[in-house]
Amino acid sequence: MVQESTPKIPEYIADILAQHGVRTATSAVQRTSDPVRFFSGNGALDEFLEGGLASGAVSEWGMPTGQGAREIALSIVGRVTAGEMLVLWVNGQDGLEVYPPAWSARGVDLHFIRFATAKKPIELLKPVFLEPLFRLVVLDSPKHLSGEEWAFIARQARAMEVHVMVLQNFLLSGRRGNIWARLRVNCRQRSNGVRGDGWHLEAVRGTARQPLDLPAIDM
Amino acid sequence: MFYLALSSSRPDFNPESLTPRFMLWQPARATGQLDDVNHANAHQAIWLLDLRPVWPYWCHQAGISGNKIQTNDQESLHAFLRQAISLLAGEEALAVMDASPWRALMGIEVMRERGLDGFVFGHNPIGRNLVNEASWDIWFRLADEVALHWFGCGRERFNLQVFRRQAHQMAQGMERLGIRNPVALVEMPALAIRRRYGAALHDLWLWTANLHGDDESGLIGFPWVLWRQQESIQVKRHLDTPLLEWEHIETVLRDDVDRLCAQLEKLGVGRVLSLEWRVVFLDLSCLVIPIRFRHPHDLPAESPHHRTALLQACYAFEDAIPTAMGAAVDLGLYEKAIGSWELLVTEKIILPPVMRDLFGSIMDSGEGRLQELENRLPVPLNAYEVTSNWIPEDGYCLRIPGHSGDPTTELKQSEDVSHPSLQALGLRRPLFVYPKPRACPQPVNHSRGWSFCERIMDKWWRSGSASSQGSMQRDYYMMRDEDERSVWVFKDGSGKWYVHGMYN
Repeated sequence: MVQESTPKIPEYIADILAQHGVRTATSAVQRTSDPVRFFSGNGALDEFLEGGLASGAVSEWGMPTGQGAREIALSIVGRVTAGEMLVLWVNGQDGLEVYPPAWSARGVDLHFIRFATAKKPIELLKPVFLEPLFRLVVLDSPKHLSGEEWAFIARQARAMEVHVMVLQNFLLSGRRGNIWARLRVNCRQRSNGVRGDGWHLEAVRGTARQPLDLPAIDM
Repeated sequence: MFYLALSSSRPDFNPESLTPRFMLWQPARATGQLDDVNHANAHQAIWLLDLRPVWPYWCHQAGISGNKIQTNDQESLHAFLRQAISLLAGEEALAVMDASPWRALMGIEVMRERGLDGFVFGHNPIGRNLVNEASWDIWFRLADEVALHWFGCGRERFNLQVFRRQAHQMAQGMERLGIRNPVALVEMPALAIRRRYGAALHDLWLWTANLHGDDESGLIGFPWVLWRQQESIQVKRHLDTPLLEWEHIETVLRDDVDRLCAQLEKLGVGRVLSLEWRVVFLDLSCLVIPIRFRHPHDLPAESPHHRTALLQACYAFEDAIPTAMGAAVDLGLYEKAIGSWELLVTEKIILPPVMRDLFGSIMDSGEGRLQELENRLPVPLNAYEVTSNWIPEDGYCLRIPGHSGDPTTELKQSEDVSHPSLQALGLRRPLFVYPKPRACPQPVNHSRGWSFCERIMDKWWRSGSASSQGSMQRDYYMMRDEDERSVWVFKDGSGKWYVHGMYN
């Protein structure tokens, strides 16, 4: 008698499917609970982000230098630290260091955030991704992540139930895709004088069809 | 509060139970009259301990979380250390903890003189009073001990005879002027001491004048002669086949770390802070590769995989070997492989069973896991805290749990007065700054996005302050540069322009 069995899906395909919310038989067994959502506290932004950033996933953000767009990321980080969950911010920006008083003033609880400096975060901080200690990991301006590195980040984010935000120093393009990031968003400041009057967010990948304009006062 | 001066009558007291970095400040002196406790104390050895490398570890053991600062943290830490010291050094031990080793030593000398015992924190009123009441006798006695250590460790251009003569002249001077104790003269500029009594007494006076500060610069020149155990814990390896690739080295090194663990367990060593890997190449040249852990690491607990130790060894190997290879290429030795090595423990803490009972299982908590994770990384995971300071570069510092000189405490105290205004300042400042402001040409087009942020004044009283060059004032602006980036620039009092940060 021939035993009937379902065709086995390779693990890397299952990973990609899981990034896009498709649950295979194996992933359904492994993950029984809904993912934790990390909110920004701004209703419009959370809606744009499909109800907040989900644990177990990766998001990629186009945030060119000097546009003040990291304030958006900070609104999420601030809420996560307020919930007494640990956040790791890996800074890969050339020559720049974090200035903690500005972070604290923007609502980030410095007790629950750690900072590391690494241009090649996966090479230097691999053990971080092997433990579910940090609930949110932000890779700010990493120097060219390879396909293997993206796959590693996505796999570990899923296995460890953490969310990984990758902030790129350039605007993302729809032509050059990234199968590992469930959400891809471009974010830039709306220019009106030196301070700008808000931010313009556009989803390159995600369910949001319309761009979002966030007034500065809302953040 | 990282330095501990300690005197114990227990013959089995081992400072290595508290920190791997310590020195024997004053050896025990032989005496025939040990008839009373005070007299006995006067002849016990004084140990000087540097607790900095193990401070987060002890704070963690005291149950102080690195994440959440509680108002009673200081009390918890004091109580824990008091208990630990009494278990290790005995009930009648004398101990003074302070931010400065000099001040800790002064405190312990005063305690000895008055026949006191117990554990005193230099920042407490009792500790402050102890040091403030130190007499000239104590000061000159300690000065002579420092001089002996300077002489022993070969301080440059130092002559013990000359020092003693100058110290004698200074003592006479103080007597003639009728100055009762060093605190009465604390306002005396160190340069005046240098002019009258020489460079060595000038250094001592700097430490004295810094009595109430935590400034690390006040410790420059302190004669630290770290204690080294005679018997080292080490393993040797002669390789059958020369190795150069890490993948091959790792397997063999894992076995050696395991052998090292067997020795550590035999000696009851609790945790290791650093190892030394002495590599000998085929051309018989040697390379010492230090393997350091950020927090005391439980080496035997990771047997047999030794993931943490091997990761740190790998980082150290990758850092050190290219340098050695470069030198080899210069010498024309292209085939440079490792022929043998020695692996030895250089810094460790020994935890007697009584201490283990005191800890319980705290190390399993989240903070313990964070420390273990930090031990596996080549870069630190920094935590910061905000200080009540308006100068941007002084507005924050690295957070050290349980540190009593902790600026957070300062901030909490002054919260009502200055915190809201500092918060408002923080909101106008960028998230990222350059470690040192970069000089830039004067911006020409003010119409291109230009906004005044704030005016600050430098601290004119700080030595080496920029005030002397007329650049005490800084006017900060936010502007857009030619690449349309919002940058944080300032103009100093002399009209020079600098880029200080970026609104990313």
